[in-house]
Amino acid sequence: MEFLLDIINNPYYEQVLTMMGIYLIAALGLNLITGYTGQFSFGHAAFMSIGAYSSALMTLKMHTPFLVNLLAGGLIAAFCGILLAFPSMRLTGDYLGITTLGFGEIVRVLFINMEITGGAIGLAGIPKETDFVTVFVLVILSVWGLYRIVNSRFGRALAAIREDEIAAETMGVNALMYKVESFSIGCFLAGISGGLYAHSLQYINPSDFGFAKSFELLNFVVIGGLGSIPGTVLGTAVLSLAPEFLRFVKEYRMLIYGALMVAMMVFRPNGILGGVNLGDLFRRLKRRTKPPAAASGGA
Amino acid sequence: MYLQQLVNGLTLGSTYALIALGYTMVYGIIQLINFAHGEVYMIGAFVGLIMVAVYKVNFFLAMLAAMAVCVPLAVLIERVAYRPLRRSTRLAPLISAIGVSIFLQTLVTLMEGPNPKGFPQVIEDTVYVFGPVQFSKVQVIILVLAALLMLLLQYTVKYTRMGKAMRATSEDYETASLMGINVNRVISFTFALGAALAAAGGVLVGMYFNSIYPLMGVTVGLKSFCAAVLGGIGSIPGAVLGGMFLGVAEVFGVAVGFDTYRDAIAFGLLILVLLFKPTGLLGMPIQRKV
Amino acid sequence: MPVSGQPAKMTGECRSMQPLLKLEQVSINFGGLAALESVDIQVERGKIFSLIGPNGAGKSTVFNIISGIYRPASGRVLFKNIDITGRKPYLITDLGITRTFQNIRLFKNLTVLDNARIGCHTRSRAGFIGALGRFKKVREEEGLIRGRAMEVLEVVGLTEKSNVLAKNLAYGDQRKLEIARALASSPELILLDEPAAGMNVLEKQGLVDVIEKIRGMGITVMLVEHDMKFVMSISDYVAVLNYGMLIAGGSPDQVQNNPAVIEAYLGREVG
Ligand SMILES: Nc1ncnc2c1ncn2[C@@H]1O[C@H](COP(=O)(O)OP(=O)(O)OP(=O)(O)O)[C@@H](O)[C@H]1O
Ligand SMILES: [Mg+2]
Repeated sequence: MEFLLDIINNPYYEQVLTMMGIYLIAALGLNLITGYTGQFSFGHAAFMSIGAYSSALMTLKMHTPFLVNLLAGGLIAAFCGILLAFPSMRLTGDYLGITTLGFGEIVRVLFINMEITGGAIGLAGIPKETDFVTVFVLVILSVWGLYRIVNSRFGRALAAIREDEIAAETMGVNALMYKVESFSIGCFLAGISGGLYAHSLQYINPSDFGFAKSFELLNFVVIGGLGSIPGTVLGTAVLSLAPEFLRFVKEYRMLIYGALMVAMMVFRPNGILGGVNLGDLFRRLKRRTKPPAAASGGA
Repeated sequence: MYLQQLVNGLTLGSTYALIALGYTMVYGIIQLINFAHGEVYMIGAFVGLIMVAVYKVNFFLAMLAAMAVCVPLAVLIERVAYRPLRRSTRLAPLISAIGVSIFLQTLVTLMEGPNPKGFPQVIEDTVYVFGPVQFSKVQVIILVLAALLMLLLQYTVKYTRMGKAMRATSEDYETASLMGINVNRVISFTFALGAALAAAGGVLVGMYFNSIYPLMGVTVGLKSFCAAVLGGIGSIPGAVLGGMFLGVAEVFGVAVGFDTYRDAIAFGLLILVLLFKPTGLLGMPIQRKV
Repeated sequence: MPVSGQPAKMTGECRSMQPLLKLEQVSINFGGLAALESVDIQVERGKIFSLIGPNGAGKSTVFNIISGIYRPASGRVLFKNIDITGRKPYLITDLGITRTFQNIRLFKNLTVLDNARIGCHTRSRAGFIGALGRFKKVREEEGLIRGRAMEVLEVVGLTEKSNVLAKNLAYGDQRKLEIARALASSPELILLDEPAAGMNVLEKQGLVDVIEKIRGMGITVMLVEHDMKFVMSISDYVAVLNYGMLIAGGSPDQVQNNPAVIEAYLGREVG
């Protein structure tokens, strides 16, 4: 707690951690889509941008309360997610990925061309409403919600689709519906994340949300470990803080970042926590820290 | 007027096609979207530029030099970043590919600076007029060279030993390796072929648009990949068709006033085609066997 | 084209009953290959109906059509007199047909228990809101699902391994889990595609017991199997498929002595 307070009192750390939390919310949404349901999405940042623009415009033009705008941004992103998912969820794997990527680019170009969004210049003067505490609470809520989802009949259906879609269908799972639902829930989280982003940086423009950002989110999820909630938290933390830690290498920063991505994949293709059951791990650790009598077995 | 746009579109399209071929061949064999392919193309353009600007060699030599750099580079990328991941989840090599992309973009930015560079004029400004249509000399070179390279590729794939091994591997990876085909060599060869075409594409585009910069591979790479998917990924004629289609559509789209939507045209088309023909224009329908 | 020995020939007592499942003139082709040609099948309630035939005869294709994975080019599939031709697989499961797969298709990275629980999907309701809310009703349903899952694991004898990942099961156990998963949906008709493949003698005996138990629950069984001893010992009715056409049908004894069947098996190297 003391430590947390210290961090909040240091504006630089606070900003870094706030951004990390914001990305984490979007990444958790992507983890539901890709990690749990097994569907590729290479355009997740576009849904962030939809949430960001919607909520920022509501704040600027309608002066409705921040939390209402945030929620509306999430819902609009979820709705767009449904619109995209219905036709495209028939596609699988890379085809779905490339379609979502294309959708993301189209959204970006649309925002560049729309007047109300300020075109390529973007929207400025968004009031600062996002603070660390709000983000922290929303992260906790998202993690909690995701845990409940994956440990339910609904979540099992998603996992079944990921494991074997044909078998899932013959077990009675309406795969298309579930994929659309999972996709739109993921997009909802992206929209919330986008709203927080807009009201934190106070300025957004379409190039903030290109496919580079989408792939960054995908990196968080894959490097953390697909289908692992702690993995996504860790992946987002490591990768979004890495550029900060790598500041000392100055211009070589992104060079190292790129090489690191390759190395991480080559050495841990399933991500840092992929295939690791944290519950088991803790139990094993506990056993190991107990008196030697219990220290039998182990690898 | 329209005919002229068509010529411009085909010129642009043939550069897309050259790059799309690399995507499609690699995808056909190892089902990987090689996101670093756009960077290979970018490096090809830079090597061409350096050869022409610094070493004052002629344009053809510059292109050969670009190939000579890009081919081993692509083979190396495959060895380091993809081969260890051949049996892992589909997303792992993809992330690795993006890592390579970022690495190469940064590397070139560090060496050459982030700003666009012009290509010295190596081809004179001659214009040939055929009735209503004008061809600049650069356009002629691009169209002819691209066509030649594609024919050469077609010959390689159809008639050489290596080409046959490539086709067998893309048909059925497991069986090919059981039949004694050295799959690793085939894969390296495929990357090499794709890189050679991309390098040529890079030099040609540099000449045509006269602007080279470290991030140039990103959009062009994605659009070329779109072209490959549009045509039916894994299909060589499909990549050529997709590239041409995309080039023409883009030029016409800009001509009728959609210039600010330029980069969305490719993706819009792609999504439309996929929704109606999920495996692209020339792709085989997939029958899921249970 | 008339099909000799087609199973439509029924005894008097059966004619009064509607068959549970009926295939009428079902045909399908893949590319140029006619995988099934005008196949007529009637499966009676409570019976064990076996479909045999050489490799590539079209047995699995019949199952794929019944379960909605393939859509026949022509013909109809009727289940409890409802036309289910070309219906989505999950709707067919909902109606009461489940199946196993010849090339095991378990949810490999999920536990045995979760595999069975997913089998209960059609017989439960909770969705996304329920997942978040975990209302009383949802918790009760989860309890029922768990109970049902443990029940079907008991039937196949996998209770002990409920927390093992499906991919870590032995081959024979994987086949048993496929059956349990299918049973979880409380079907009226279960399609078993080569359930004994890769099992040793002991496991096969266990399987016979399981199938008898399933019949005991009042579930109709359709079976595809290459092991003749196994088929002949357990079936009430055997139909023989060759090159996509039904060539014989009847009681195990009738089929075994049918010259056309012997020809079909001897004509091609017995596999
Ligand atoms: N999706 C498909 N695409 C193309 N051909 C198919 C498809 N499914 C089945 N076939 C073909 O249809 C024929 C019948 O196949 P099927 O799997 O039904 O045979 P089977 O009787 O189950 O054989 P086995 O005993 O080997 O399992 C085979 O020639 C098979 O290759
Ligand atoms: Mg079969």
